[in-house]
Amino acid sequence: MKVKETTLPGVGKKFAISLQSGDELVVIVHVTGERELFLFRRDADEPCAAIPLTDLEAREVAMILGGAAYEPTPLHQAELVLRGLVIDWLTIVEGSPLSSHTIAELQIRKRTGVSVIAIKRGEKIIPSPDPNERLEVGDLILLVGTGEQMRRFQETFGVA
Amino acid sequence: MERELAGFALALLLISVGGFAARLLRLPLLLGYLFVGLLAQPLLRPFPSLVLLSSIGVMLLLFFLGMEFDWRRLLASPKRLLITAADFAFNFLLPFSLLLLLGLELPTAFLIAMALYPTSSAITISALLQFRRLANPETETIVWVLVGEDLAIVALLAIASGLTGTEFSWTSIATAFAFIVVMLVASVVLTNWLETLFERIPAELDNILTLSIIVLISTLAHLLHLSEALGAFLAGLLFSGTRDREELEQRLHLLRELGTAAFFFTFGLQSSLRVSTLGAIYGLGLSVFGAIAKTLTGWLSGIFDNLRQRARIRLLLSLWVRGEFSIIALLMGKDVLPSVWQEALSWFVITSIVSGLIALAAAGKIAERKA
Repeated sequence: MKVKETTLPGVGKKFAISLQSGDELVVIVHVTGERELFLFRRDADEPCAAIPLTDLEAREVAMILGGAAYEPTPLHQAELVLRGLVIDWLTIVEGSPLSSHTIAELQIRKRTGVSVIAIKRGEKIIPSPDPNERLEVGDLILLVGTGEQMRRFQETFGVA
Repeated sequence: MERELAGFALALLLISVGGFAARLLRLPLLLGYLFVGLLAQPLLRPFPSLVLLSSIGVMLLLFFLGMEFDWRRLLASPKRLLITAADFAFNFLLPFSLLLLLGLELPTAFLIAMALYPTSSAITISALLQFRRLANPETETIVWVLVGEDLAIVALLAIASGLTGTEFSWTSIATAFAFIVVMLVASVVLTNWLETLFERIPAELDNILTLSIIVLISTLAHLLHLSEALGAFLAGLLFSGTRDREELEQRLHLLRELGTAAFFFTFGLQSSLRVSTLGAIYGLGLSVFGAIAKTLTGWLSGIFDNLRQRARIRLLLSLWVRGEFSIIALLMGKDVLPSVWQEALSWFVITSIVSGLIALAAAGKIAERKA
């Protein structure tokens, strides 16, 4: 699988994924948070399908595609590396500096660059959690960031 | 106060109506703002708070350009530099020399060429978005043409600051370039400091502090007799290396949208609808020249970027629209440009937007038929 990432200044980023079928899937992530999906048939230079998604819709789709709702093989602690992007699960244990604080209080993104994109609490999945969501012991949180940001996260919060 | 407030309410209402009409017609919203401004002339004159909002709009537009501007990436690609050079030669150097040959004064020729030169990023990008062409292969080329123009425009704005005073002034030009150098150095040196500063202050103040830095640097530029637009671009450069850049773009998005709308609306309000025959002829001439020169740019860029035939044809028709920078050039030349040329430029901007959008909309079908 080949993912080609290009910056479109003023627009956002374009990710072109060459699929096994020979088609190309293009994802455009706008600076405004909107996403667009395009499908280019083999060798075509105009898309045969264009799907605009809001931020929330895109996250929901990503969660489903990522296997958060239904995953035949276990996903725990799976680490996915996509062109420098790391997605990782972390369980909040007793005594963790993260427990009983809201995401906003912890300023996770501001301090480390890492984003919390979902929380699994028991059977409940909270996609794109509100910054005021309080993290509890036992929560499984889904983090996304670059390798460097993940390291910063580990240093800042002293968790692995 | 009541009058101003009522005017403001009316302006916002009209802007919404214009935007809505444009959406219904499947056109970029900015076009709706401009046209509703033109039509609203009997109802409204530009008033201070609207003009202020519209200057904040320009500042933010330029600030975001500066923030996203990565000169290293542009300079790293000889192919893209070549495209930028071709674009500059066809759309600035050529008309500039022709106008000088025709006997126009240096500042007049310079400002007209400067208004002719840049394709409007704001309108073109939103049209490409509207027509669902952002993922197409030619769009990358278009975007890089636009980025190259940002680089050139900064230099042109700096030179223009020396031409728009009462007399030609090397000092102003030197000041402008010194200012650019200082800000370039600052953007490298101050990144860490700026990040620390933003980490220390409460998150609620991020927007206000950013906006005050933008307005402060723009005002500083103004005090140095440079363009505020240049100041705002350089303020953006200051933030370009910081980590929170993308977050900042999202946070200031609303204000930028409002300001840009006010900017195009105010331009509509200010454009004189009565135009002399000579002004109309000049305006038409500029539009035709502008379309041909941009088609040439598209043709060469398509070859440089190795695009396939259909993408190449679409590219030819995608660069015609002028907008924010041309309006800035026109506003800078208010005291310098002969009134007939001011009329011509207003009409040039409007006709280039209309014809450019028609070309953009038709590009897909034309490419399909030709290929």
